[in-house]
Amino acid sequence: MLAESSHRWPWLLLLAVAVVGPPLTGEPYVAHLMVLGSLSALLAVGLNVALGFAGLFSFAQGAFYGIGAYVSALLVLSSGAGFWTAFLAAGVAAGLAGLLLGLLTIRLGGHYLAIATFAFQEIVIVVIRNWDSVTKGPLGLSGVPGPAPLALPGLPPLEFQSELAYYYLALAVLVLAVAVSWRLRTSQIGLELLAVRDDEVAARAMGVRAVQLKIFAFSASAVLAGLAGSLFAHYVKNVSPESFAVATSFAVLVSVLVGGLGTIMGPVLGGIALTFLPEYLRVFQEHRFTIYGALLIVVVIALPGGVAGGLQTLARRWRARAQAARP
Amino acid sequence: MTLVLFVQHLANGLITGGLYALVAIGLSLIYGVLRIINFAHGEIFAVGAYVGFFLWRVLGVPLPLAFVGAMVGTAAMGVAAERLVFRPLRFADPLNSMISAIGLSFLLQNLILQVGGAEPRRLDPFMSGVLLVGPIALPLQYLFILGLAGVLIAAIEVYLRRAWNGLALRASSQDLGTAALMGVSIDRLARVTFAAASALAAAAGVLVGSVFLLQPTMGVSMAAKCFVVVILGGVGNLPGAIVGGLVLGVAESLAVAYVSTALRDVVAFVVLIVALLFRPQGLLRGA
Repeated sequence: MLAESSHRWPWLLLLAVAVVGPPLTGEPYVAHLMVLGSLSALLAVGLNVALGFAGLFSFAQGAFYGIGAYVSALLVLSSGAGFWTAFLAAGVAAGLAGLLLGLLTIRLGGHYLAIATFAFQEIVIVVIRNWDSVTKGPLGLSGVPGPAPLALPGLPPLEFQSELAYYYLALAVLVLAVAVSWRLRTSQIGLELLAVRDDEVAARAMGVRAVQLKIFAFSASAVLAGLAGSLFAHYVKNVSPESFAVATSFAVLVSVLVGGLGTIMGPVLGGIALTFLPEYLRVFQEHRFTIYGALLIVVVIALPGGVAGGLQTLARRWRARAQAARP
Repeated sequence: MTLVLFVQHLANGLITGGLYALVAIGLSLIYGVLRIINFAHGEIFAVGAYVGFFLWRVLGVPLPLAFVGAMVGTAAMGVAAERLVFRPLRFADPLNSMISAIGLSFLLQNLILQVGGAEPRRLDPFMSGVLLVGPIALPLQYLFILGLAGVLIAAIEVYLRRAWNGLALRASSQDLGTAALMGVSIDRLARVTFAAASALAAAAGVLVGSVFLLQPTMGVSMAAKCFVVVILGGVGNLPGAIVGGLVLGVAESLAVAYVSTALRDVVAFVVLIVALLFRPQGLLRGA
């Protein structure tokens, strides 16, 4: 239903809720969480391109996120570049890092690839933490400026000062990313990626250039993480290595799988839901991350296809019942 | 003098390497038999250390008994984890058991934080005193750890070669389905695997606690290093895990001594990338 159906309404409904919901609550904190949720969703959509479409494990999404954040912040802080230039540069830098890692490791496949990307993740964090002259080490960079107002012809300049305004910026990027991933999924390249994921040997025998495609998917996923990193850096204004550690990569993987691997909407839902979940668990105070861990286990056991997978199953059953009820 | 220092660093590296090997063997065993990448194995190691600390410090059990108690208690916990967290996913997508493992690691890490507190803890050394070999001073504690690690590793090797369960384990790591057809109970096998792996990790935990410090997050970097060790040795290859552990321990120790202390944590991952590029089949397997 939410994955590849002809129905438009679930999408439009979700988008409407995303646009109207946060201002209706009137709470800046909700908008703040939605910014973070959108960034998680962006990371998850990115990972989904690699893992969901091409079947490539990656524990390096946090590292690409960090590369994007640091490149963007450093560009603005040291060379005085504008936000938009830095934003694009962050995507390019992360994409190049993804390309490099892809070239080195893509032939490994399966669990080996997972562990190699895990290693890359750790190396990037160690480098960021120790390269004091550039990254300021564990303390990180502070005073990263927010984006300058955007002047569009015929409109009043768009400001990104408030949480809500920044949220709309993040949402716009997210919607764009979802559109691209949907377009990719339904394109020739997307179908070839799925073929490689399901049976690489057969796909190659049909003339699919598997290695190039996989490297492409891997780099594309890194680009999205880099863009998310830039948005993060100019939102929180401080970047320090801990935000991009392996726990972040785990969280991205979890949102993709809990949301629904390989679906379009699953990663978005997963990213946002898992940002809000710890907030709702605040009532349990210091036990909340224990409960978070337990919930992960329960969800994975109860909903092996993720939330989107579960919804699809429900929709299928409902449709079957509706058909059976027809005389 | 430089030679003396070199030998000293080598010895330090072997100790750390022995501890890596203890944890990595379990990781490798679980993957080899059940095809689970157990991201929670580092936390099981940490739980072992804290169980030992609790028995010794709070209940006043003598240290050697606390050591054994930690192994037994953590083995029981490993068996429970297998039953509750991994068994329901045995026939599901392998990705799911990976997520389940991540959830378990979250759960355990935060449980340790709440029960054990955030402040670093420390255990008494098992032995004091120094053994002098010419100009080289070796703390008895280190020799003891290396010896104990060696004994435990030898014990698991003998078990895998001689005991019926050990044979079943080795058969299953080659072909789980056929082993099941030959009458091996997979449930029982999974229990034995998790019990043995958790007990070894707990032993390493208590030993680490008697030299370094206990911290709730101590399992994270341990797990990361042990993934490297497992790859280095060849996935599912136990002698490989031992060699891999020692190689990594020594490489780290020498890099810290001769290049820079900041390198300690990078060494593992550089070694890993190089190993993946040139010997993805592991150090001990023929091409």
